[in-house]
Amino acid sequence: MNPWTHAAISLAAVAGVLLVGGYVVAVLDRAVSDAVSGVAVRWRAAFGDPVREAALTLLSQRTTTERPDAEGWALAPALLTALAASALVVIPAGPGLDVADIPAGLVLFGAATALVTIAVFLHGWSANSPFPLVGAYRFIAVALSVEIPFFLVLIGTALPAESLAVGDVVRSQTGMWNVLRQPLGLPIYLVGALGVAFWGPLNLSDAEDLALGTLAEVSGLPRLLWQSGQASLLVALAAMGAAAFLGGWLGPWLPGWIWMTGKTGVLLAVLVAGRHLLARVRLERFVVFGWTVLIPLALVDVFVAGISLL
Amino acid sequence: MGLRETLARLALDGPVPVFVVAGGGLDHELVRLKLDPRIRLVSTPRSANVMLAMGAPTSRLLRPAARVHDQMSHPRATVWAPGSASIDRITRLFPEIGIVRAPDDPVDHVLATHERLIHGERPSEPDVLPNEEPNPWRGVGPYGQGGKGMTGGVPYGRPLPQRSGDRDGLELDVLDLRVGPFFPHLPAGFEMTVKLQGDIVQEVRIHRPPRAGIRSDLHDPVLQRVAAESVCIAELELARARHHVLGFAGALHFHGLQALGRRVARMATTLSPDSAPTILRLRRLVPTTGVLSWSTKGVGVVSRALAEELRGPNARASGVLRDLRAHDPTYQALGFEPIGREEGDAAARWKQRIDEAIQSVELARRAEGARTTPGLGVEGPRGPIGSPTLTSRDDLSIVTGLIEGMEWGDALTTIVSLDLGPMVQL
Amino acid sequence: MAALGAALAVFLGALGAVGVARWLEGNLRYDRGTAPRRVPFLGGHAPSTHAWSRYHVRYYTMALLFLAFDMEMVFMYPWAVVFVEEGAVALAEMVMFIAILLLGILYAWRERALEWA
Repeated sequence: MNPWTHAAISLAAVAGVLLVGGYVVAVLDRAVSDAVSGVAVRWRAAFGDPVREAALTLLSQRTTTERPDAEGWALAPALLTALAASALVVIPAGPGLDVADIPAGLVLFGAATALVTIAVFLHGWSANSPFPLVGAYRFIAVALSVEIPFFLVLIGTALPAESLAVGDVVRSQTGMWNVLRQPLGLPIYLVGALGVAFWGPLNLSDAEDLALGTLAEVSGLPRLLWQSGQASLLVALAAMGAAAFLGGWLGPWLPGWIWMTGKTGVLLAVLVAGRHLLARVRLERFVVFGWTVLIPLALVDVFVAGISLL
Repeated sequence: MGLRETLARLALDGPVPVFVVAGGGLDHELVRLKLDPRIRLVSTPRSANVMLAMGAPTSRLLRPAARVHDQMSHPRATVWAPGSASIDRITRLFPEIGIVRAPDDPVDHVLATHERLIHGERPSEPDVLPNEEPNPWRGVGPYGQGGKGMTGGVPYGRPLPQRSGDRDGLELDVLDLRVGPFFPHLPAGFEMTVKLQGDIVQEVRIHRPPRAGIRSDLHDPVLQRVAAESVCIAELELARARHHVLGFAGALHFHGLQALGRRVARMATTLSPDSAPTILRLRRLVPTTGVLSWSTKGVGVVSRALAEELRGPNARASGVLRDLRAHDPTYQALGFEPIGREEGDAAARWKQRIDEAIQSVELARRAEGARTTPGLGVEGPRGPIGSPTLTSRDDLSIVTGLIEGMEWGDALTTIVSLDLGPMVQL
Repeated sequence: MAALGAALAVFLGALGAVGVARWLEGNLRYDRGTAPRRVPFLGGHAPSTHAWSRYHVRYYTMALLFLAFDMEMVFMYPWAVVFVEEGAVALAEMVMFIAILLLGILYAWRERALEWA
């Protein structure tokens, strides 16, 4: 295939997945919110409100602050979305059905999610406003605490695959999914995903106690872009969780990509439910928890995976 | 049809983002507004199109309200529900404002205003404050800061923060912020000046209301009457339970559980003498969210000695079992005994208030026709009613002492858990 | 190589698409705003200083600890690939390496380097 055509198709595919996925996140969020708040789920509103809200946000003018870092502020949502897209390219939707079957796919995924730190920090820093600034520095503390266990459990899934390619990781789960073989893996991965995507209980950077933190000074299109970037990131994280722990496209009867979509949807629902069912953690306590509980547990996960392969 | 009209048509049916500016004592009104599915209360004016102001306009609140108004992005509009107060001072500042008087529902008014705003039938409101730079352009240095380098002069508008020492021996900058009176989740009208170094509150000064002598800081009509006349104990106890459950609903939102907060707030509006099992179920379910453990446990511990200076549930959560009801023969006949806890942290205060809500509902069920005896003094949801209900000066120094040295999030958790009541009466 | 190219194309494409959308919107109706609209939100008052400052990043000791572990992660990627081939030797080596690093965490924890308030 002509490399340009390949690039164009890749781009279209990733854009499609992220747009649909981001919409699904918004719909699920409203449905879960209704269920938790004790009313019957208003599905019509759940499907319609994300579009209405986006339209209203677009109608609103963007704001700026006194002497912001305009370039950094513009770059932050673009970088967030681009990193989510890059994280997604290495994940196959079916056998051979991926954008970039890179031999070191897990490394690229890790690099993309690690750089989210830069995007969030930039978003908070650029406003030159106190509460976004505090949110920016908070995110770094969260990210540094979750990233090591997050990547460790992913490395654990590479052990039986003898490869860092995500396709090989999926294939290695033919007999048994990693969620059963490495039971500590998926829970730790999900905690890490909440942290990386500044979502739910680990949303300390855009939190209510900071008047929405890095989002406090943002309105109009930039706000929409930031929120859609976050949703894209959740999609990428859920897709990787499905591939690395739930056997990706593996499954009977149905075509592989349906299995992959379904499993990603399940993990997205879990992440969204986490936001409505778990209270925000305290930053300092969480940092200690990350270093003294999550990292040792993640190491146990890796070594248990190793011992079982001897 | 242009893009703008398409967007406007799409945008109309969704929930309207509203930033609420509320005067002291209106916190529970805020929680009620959160229940309304037609609007969406947002935590920053940047993401709102309509500002809903509630309460009488005092000079202490008009200017901050104008500041917040100007921070909203266009298109924007304001709706003010001044209660029974005169509106002259409002209309002088906000000439195009919509005024809501009881019994009209402010939310209806917000929706109508929003619709006309989005359709372009109503112009977006201009700034209220004058368009003046905080520091004028001086024409020297790359940003006109009037000096060379990052620290010379005043960089475009404002000075740079000053350095200050810290216990770890580092000398780094301090952000001196005046937070409030409309900061989300702080009590309505609450204002404080905070010195933030990193994310630690180094110093805090809570601004007192200019006038002492506030008639009543409790919104519930029963609680407003109870000091002067005899009321039904069942009604009084239900009002107390409502106060605590609504307060907890607000706390859930603060801790990131907006949907659960809505459920709890709805529970508060439908309380009856038979609601004890419902609240009890809540009491059992809520701990699974972590809001009573990892979010609040060990935060803002009030020692027993300090609690002697406090009143109501705040004191009882630290083991000081003072309660006027314990000396009231009517309550004694109902089998009332004060309940308390020992830990004294934010988690304990919330558990205490939910437990007291359950106790109150039980009392309401047993009370039948019993009435309060005027002259004995009444224990309100925040402590004795009738005697000064405003949080006393001592309480404020306790709050200040508690939150100094805390991480910002913990400091807010502490303030939210203390149920301080209005610092400023509108 | 084609795969890497596609990945790069997606990264740049997404960066460009979002960047251009924001840039276009900004140019179509950019408005620097009036002075009162640009004031940072504090809940009703204006800040007295800029927010940019020599911020006291109190978790800096934790950030230093992170550097050590980040290096360890880099070693683990190739280790994971050859693990099955090398077998017990690889496991023993990595356990020793990690044990030393974990002692570091324990020390930092004891010294309360992970807390700051």
